[in-house]
Amino acid sequence: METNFINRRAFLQGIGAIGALAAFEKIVPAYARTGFGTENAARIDGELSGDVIDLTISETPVMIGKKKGVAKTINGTLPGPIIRLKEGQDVTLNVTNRLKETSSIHWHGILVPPAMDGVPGVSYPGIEPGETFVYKFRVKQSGTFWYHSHSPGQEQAGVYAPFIIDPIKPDPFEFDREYVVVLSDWSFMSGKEMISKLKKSEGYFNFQRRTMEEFISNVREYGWKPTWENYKMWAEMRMMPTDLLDANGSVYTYLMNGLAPESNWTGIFKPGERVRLRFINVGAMTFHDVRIPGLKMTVVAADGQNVQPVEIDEFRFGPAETYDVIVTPKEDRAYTIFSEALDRSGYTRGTLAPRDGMSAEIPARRPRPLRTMGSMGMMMEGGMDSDMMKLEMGENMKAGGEKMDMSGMKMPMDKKMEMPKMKTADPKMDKMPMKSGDMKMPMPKSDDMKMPGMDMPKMDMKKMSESEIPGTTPVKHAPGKHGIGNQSVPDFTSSRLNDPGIGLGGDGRKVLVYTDLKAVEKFYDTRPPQRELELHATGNMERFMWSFDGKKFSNGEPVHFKFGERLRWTFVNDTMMEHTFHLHGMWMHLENGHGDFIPRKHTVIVKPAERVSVAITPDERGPWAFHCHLIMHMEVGMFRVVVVSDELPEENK
Amino acid sequence: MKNLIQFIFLAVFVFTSGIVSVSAQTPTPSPSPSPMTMDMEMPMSSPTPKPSPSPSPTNMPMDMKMPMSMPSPTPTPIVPDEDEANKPPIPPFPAPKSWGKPINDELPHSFILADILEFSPKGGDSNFRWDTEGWYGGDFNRIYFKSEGESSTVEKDYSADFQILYGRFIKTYYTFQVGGRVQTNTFRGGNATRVQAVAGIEGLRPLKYEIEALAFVDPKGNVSGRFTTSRDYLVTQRLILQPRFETNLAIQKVERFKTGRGLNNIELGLRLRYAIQREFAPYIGVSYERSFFGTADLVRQDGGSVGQFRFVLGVRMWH
Repeated sequence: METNFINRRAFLQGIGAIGALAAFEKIVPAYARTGFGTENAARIDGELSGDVIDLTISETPVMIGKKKGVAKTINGTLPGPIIRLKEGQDVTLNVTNRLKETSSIHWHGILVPPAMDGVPGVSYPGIEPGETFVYKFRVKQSGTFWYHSHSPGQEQAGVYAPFIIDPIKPDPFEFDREYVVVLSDWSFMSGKEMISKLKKSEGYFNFQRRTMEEFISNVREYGWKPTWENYKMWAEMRMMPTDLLDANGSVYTYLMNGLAPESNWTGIFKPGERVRLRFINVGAMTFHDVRIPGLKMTVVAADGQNVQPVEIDEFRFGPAETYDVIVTPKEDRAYTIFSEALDRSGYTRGTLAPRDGMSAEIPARRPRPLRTMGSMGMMMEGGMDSDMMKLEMGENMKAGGEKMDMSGMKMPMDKKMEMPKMKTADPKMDKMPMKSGDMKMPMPKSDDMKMPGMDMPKMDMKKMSESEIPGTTPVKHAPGKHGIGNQSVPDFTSSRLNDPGIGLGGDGRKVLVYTDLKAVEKFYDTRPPQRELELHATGNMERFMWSFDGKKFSNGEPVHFKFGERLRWTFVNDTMMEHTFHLHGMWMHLENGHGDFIPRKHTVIVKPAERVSVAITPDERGPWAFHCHLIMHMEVGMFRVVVVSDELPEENK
Repeated sequence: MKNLIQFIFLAVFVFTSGIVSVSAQTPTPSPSPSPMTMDMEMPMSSPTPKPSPSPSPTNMPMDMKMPMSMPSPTPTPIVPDEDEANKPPIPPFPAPKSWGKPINDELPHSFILADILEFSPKGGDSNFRWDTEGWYGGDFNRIYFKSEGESSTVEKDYSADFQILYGRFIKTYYTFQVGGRVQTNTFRGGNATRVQAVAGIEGLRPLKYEIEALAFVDPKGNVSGRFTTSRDYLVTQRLILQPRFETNLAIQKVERFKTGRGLNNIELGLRLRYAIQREFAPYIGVSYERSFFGTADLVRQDGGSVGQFRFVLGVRMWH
């Protein structure tokens, strides 16, 4: 109980700090909402807790940087108020809709009964204008989560906020102070309009395309042939290697806790204190690369779930993911919390400082990386054309990416395999029924796998701490291209969980990768999966169509889970963009090789030409949403209903 | 921190190797609504969710082994579930229509583009020219509108066509189009107008060439065709060079419309635009048009020139 006490105190101090910050902000004319010279935003200056919480969604004028806009907010602030609850408590949340359209609130990553999940058209009809919906549920977990509207366009417009749950049993790490850091992407253009632009004009927001100017400089640097061939190949495919984010800094202002970079959100610390930062990516379409120059970050939780501490310099997270990190700034100076968009088209920043009003240097943005053929799973006949790779490699190294193409396509046994996880397959896995014919559980033979440090004394031990990562050996794509709603399919896909992703990992920084995540405690269900499902992410970027297995939601079929089973769901990304897949109502256990300690996630990134397997125990009956959390991908069709029931329909058995 | 990490590893090891048993205050978690006491009494029970009424964990495969050395699959204190009575009813699936759809993935969009909207100063031969296209619809089915033509700014002469087409997305990069066209020409006071059926294809070729190939048939069975292709080259992000090629063909000679048999004409254009916005890009350019064979003869008969070089000023717009 001693630790509990300390944690409680830490918690109170944290709150104190937030309070002090709020007080400072209020020196600038109160209700800064309409005040001039300041950004409106309700910084996270209040927390809502207790058994009954009232929330109101409405339109609110805001100042973003120096420009006026109208946001859709929760309780009049952007982001909305922090909800702070205690694990085990019963809570009632009265959500009133003061908008002119149907609204909703979904508790992201929080296990609730299906009727309380807040997805219009799946859990309930939504909340009509002027109405109040009463959510009631028991809080059965702890950690950093968030809540947001699940109605079209409203999340990007501002209906998002943190949801923090304090654990019954203290977290297995200590800290003296804590802040919530919400990263979002603000646009003065509505989500609907942005989708419409993208439908009519491919790459509408991409102002980082390759031009003749760049062609000439590439020719100078890499020579005529590599440059010509690379450009020609991309044109032949009718795609752009600069297609990194569908919506980026050309339309978004990236915000930290509702503040634009110039408004500099600041968190106060005393030198030597351990500061817990709860990072939440509520961005509609943005992968953020976060670092704090001068500080190591120790990741202690992912998606609200405690993980064994990992020390890193930088992490990338996609829309809807969360990471809790602990930093210990020792010097009496300011540190910049720097967050770049994946395509380097924009950034946001805040400051950790011993006193208010300080700021540190803002690092320069790195050059934008380029998509490579390899990272898209395209296998060249007779190996990669080395000339062409010269350009790709050169440009990506400048951008801070890895020297080698880390696709794993070319060399399935490259350096990734040095990690002690490619083990002899668990004997239990052998008995797993395979569902579709094209699916292949790679079972590397043990003699292929002679690597140092892979001797483990007992099978039992191995199963608990290590397991095979499904899909480590590249899997050939089955015939068929998922129809006209999909542009192309990779020749091969493979697991690349230890690849930090495009534009990262080559500049000496330790970047968090999914294989670093190891749960602190086991989940109650550690059975190996008994059934396998595979789902392909598909899209036609020329028409901004996004779908699963080539079919958007309206043309697709629901996915069926059997209550109480343990299944493996493998996501295969046939597109050239990253996606974040979010499953409502139950955990996805990321099969990243850590045996019984594979981490639980509510949202997983799947990179181009990657296959990611998650194990799932459907333990709550009902219809649940599953979708890409890049909101515009979801809204045009990357969405499915997952039905958990006692019996599978005949055709799904 | 180091000690802490060590402690965690130790704790984890101890747990997993089953050396110590878990304290009684941590009940076996169960997602099922079964009472807690039951869980406490049977900490060794299967970790399978215990669905209350119907499905039983008995249909788990027999090879599913629970390491019996583990006292409890998880040491996490998990909160007991709500009482069954307090649980709200499970929402129906499929959801009632009145609930609406969770996403609007069938929302129609509308698009209108003036790819060419330009003035060409050439003394008594100055003219105004347009090539526009628009559509309304979803991803797969659309209604297209097209119009192309030119009008002398000095005389009252003009030639224009209007098309209404149904467009079906049939291949990854192509739309099949079918519909009707009205073609009307006025030359020195005389007007000629006809209606034609249209079928064709529009899309994006490898190497990123936009193409449009349309065939026209009039009620008398005269068949003609038009092929257009263009490509955008980015000089900078906003300065874009667009070469454009257009050609008209006909099977029969139709004198009223000044079309001969075979290849009628070709037109080569080069336009350099500056995209102030993606939607609004003023341009300057040049265009060269040449008529051939029978068509050239008809043009000569009317006193026109077979080859024409023009300087153009215009704006490309879309919405």
